[in-house]
Amino acid sequence: MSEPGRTASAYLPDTYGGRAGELEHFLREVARDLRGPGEELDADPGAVSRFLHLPAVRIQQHMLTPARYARDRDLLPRFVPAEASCAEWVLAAEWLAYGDPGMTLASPGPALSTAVLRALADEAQRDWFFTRTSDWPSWSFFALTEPGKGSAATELTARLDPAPGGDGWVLTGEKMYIGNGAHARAGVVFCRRAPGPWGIEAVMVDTGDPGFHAEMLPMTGLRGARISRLRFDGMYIPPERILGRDRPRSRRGLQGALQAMLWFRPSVAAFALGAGRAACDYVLEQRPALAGADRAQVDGLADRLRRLRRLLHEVAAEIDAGSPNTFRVSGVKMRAAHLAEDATMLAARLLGPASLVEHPWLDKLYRDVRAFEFMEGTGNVHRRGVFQGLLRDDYFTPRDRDVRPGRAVEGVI
Amino acid sequence: MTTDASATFGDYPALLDALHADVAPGRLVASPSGRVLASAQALGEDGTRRFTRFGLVCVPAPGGSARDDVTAGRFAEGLLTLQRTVVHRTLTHTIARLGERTSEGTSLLTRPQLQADLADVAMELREAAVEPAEETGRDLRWARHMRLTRAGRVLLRLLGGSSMLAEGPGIDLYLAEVTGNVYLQPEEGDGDV
Repeated sequence: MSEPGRTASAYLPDTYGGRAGELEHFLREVARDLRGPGEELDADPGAVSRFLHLPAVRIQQHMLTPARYARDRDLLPRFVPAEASCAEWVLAAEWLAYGDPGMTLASPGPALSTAVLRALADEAQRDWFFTRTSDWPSWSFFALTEPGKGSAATELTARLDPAPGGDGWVLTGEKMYIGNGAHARAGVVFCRRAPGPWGIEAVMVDTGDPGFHAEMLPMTGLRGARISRLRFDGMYIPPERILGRDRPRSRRGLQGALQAMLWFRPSVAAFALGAGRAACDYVLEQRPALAGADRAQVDGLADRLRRLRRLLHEVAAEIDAGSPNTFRVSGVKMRAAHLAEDATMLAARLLGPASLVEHPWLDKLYRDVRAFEFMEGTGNVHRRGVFQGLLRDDYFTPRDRDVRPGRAVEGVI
Repeated sequence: MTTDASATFGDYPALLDALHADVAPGRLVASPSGRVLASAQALGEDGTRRFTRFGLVCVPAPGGSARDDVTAGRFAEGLLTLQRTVVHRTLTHTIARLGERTSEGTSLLTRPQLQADLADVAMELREAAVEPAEETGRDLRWARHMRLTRAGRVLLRLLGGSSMLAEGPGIDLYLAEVTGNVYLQPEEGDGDV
């Protein structure tokens, strides 16, 4: 057992060196600023406007924006990269969520849409989108999920019909549970132009255009994310706003959605791990003398978080290397979401009766973490993904199969 | 089982008030740690002092609150019945909602994983409904509360994003968890009293 007073964060391996080491140190420092604002945001989801000066609030926009549109170079250290790799963004996402997941998702920036733009957009489209999202502060959204349909990309019903006169398109339909939808300046909407998987398109919308309607949904958790319902009521979409319009149909809409979700899914796992780690550390800060079976439970959870973090960094590196394993990504995301729930429930128990009343930040985190189950696919969907990986003999790595005596010791060292 | 996809949610505070009134007419029941959790209406002006979220208020137990062991035990059993009611209602709602949804042309309810999850919750509910053979102590009640909590969370996972809506099916389960945290969770070293 570890010595008393040691936090779960201190269990982390020294994963990074060099520039990434500097980045992690910086993230660790600035994430501290998010906790108080996170509580304010929980009471008033619009309160993020009072905290736009915080470096941690600027990180998302900077790291998810291509370098030539990034405007925070003078406000953030040089080692905070623009157009971050998946591994770099995962590192940031985990630390920011450690500070506060609600503040992280409330921060301005291109969010998940950046991954679709990376996958599908031409230069003019990048220019259109990132010029808008680079204005400070401005938010964007990624609209895939529909009422009653969930986020199954192949089943969406929002329609893209030819515009009268033949120039451009008309977007009609609804989207549900869209982060920052009601406050965004621009976004990417997935819709159906024709039946079948290749009939799906991704289009960029400007929320100032006629036909766009949005309302914020009152939520129990992650209230700062300002999750919204969107309605597109015959919204005109110029032809140049169809992402990947010059590509074959098999290599644009649906492929963009899948690539974006694959790129972003590890960061949802990172949000969950960061929040789970924060819950463990909070217990140890509040109960530094925790010992015996209770302490062992925190240690056990911290150990699981540490192991999953290693797996998370591996899948992110595979994505950056262009050889992603979707099955392993699914497994990591699902397990991370469950661990975060386990961590907050354990924290509530270990901090004693009425802990959810006496510790408002814990109560907030307790509600927030449930959302990670639903972001980027539910646990059952990912379970099926892992099973598909087993069927194809493509889930375990050679390391997982290596049962030589002493291999475990090598792994630790 | 009847299904009711249009079930209304958010009445847990009123149900909790009714439990207070049933167990201790004219008074509020204090938690073992000396707090009272009830609706803002029931607590009147005191309701502005300490908020949890979404309609429940927690205050130090007012003078005249019921604190004796017999009343506390009846109230605790009532809380478990209330939580079981809420989980059952959510199970009904979940079956209805999933039955309405299709994927790849078939009902979601045809998926073995979902069927197994729903069956597990149903079995937990039946077990929880059995009258205890002998008097139940605080540790055992807490364990029952946690089993119901986990059953409820299975349903919330199945319901997806709608379970996070403040006026959706997740709110009453959350409030039942908070109430259990205040009234049912044993203090360290309480033992099974």
